Amino acid sequence: MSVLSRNNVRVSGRGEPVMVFAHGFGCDQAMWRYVAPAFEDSHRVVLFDYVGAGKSDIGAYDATRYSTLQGYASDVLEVLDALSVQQVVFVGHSVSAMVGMLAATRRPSRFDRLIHVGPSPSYLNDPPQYAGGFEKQDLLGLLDMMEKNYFGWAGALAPVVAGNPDHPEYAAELEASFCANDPVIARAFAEATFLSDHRRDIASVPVPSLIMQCAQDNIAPEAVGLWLAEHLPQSTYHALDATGHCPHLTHPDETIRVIRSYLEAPAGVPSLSALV
Amino acid sequence: MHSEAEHRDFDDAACGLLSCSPTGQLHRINQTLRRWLDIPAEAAITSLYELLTPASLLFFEMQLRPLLALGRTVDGAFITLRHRDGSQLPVVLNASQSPGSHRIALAMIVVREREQYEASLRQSQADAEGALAAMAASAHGQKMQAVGQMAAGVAHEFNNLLAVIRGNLSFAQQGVQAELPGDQRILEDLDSAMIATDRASAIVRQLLAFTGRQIVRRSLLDLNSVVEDSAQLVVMALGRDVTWQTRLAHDLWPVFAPTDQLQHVLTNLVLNARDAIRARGEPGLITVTTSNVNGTATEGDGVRLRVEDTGIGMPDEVRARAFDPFFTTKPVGQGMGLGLSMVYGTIEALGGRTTIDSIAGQGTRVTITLPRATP
Repeated sequence: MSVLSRNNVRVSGRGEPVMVFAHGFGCDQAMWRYVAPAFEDSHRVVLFDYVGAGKSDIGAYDATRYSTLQGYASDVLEVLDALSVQQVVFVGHSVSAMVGMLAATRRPSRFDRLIHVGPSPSYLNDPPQYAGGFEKQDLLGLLDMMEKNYFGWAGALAPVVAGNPDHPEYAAELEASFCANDPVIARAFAEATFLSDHRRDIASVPVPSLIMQCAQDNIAPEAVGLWLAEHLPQSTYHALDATGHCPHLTHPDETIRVIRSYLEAPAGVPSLSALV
Repeated sequence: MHSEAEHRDFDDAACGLLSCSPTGQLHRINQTLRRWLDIPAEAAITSLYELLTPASLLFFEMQLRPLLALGRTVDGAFITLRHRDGSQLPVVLNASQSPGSHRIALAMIVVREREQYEASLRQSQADAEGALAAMAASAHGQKMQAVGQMAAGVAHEFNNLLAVIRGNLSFAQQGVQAELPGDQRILEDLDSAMIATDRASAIVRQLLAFTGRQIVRRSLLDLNSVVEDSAQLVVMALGRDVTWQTRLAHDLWPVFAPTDQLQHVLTNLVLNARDAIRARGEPGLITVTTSNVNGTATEGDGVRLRVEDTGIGMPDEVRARAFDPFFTTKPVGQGMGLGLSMVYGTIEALGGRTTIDSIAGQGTRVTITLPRATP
């Protein structure tokens, strides 16, 4: 099976520069449905599912490869290779922000800029110097809860199609697969995501990036965004008005506006203006 | 407006009910739910997140809220609520957010196996506490020995593998440069793999030092000369606010040890002392002392090297773990947590011992004692 089928890669848009949108934990490329189309006039838009998510090929799952985020970064690099694209703007939500940073560190020439939506290099508290937001037992509790939900309450997350009259272009077939993650893989992905600490990798990210920090984000709190702004080279920090952890779903207009204005600014001019 | 009857139906429903904004701001919460969680009627709860355990908060935000934001319903998800006394209440949750609405409605029932669930939680907590107590009870020496054995095994295997990886990477780099000189992409891949291999090798070297399994050449050595030889290099690294003084014993007995390893040990201790002084934020003093220690009935003569600082000091819980590999209190990127482990391992391997005395806020004294060499 080709990489493009393995990761259910979808390409759209009429522009020249390539923008890749990578989904976070617990969902799939459908997460970008309110944001990605806005860039189709100016960009070639690439959406994909990580192996185990959405309509990816579950048969391609390799427990060793995907036991760390580096395995997911390899997916990203292989998708770019398969598409024969030279340089991309990589937009990563949540854990995918870190995946993008790892991929860009491994192959800098492939990345023009990184855009991080709700990023976190580590979800674990490490007092006194770092407040990731969670204690290890909280994160183990999440894994336990996922197991109970997937196995004990089968069907709890089975999608009930409510229809989406505003976006008829998304067919019922796509609706039916929305966030349909394989339970075993989802648990392993959760472990790779929430129990890893990538703070040491931040200093070597060689590509300019935008940190989009939501207000009242319970998953990646403001302290984490500010830590990242301080440690991530060539980064620009932007505090969104949007609340929660999924601004691309809940506040798509602001998300689009901020991404667009960052892309229109000259490359490689980091700014901390939003901090002061 | 809700009629009184509607209010009653809402409050007395057999399930827990609440409504909130998409950001979790509570609109209404019924009496049943308040009763379950022991929330007094007058207590103001403003956010849904106050009612969720941290694990449930993560699960709700990452798995359920995206579904709701896209107009889906959540049907029978398992989450745990936070009781006012700190315990957990497992519930099954239905939730929905009508399209275009700014209101999420949640309905919950308590999981029937609650007792069983809580018993299993209590049991796992007891197991975990038992395991922790057993770990704490085991002697420090045993722990260090076990860690040392494991680290030695891992370091040995890794060293062999790294040699193979490095060799093949080097061949591949030469091959690409010769055959595909324009292929920047492959060269970047190989470069980043080589950099990672270098980092891995450095970690292995420090682990080997900790385990005392490094191959070393020992010779008769004067510790005073180690201090004097290191002084120039060390003083340059201290900066303006840190003063360095030495008190070196005349006619110091020799030790039998490798020079470069002891220089490494001294440098590590002095740089730690410097960092401790900087962390305190005031000018400070590092004193390096050497002395002879007369033997006792149970121990032979020894030679002592002491590095003392007026830095920030360590609380007891930090001091207790200071020799553990990868334990560090320094900010990310400023230390692997292998420095003191290396000192400990090196000195143990030479038949000596390392001790730390420290008072939080006042300073730290690291004392190394090596056996006197008999020429």
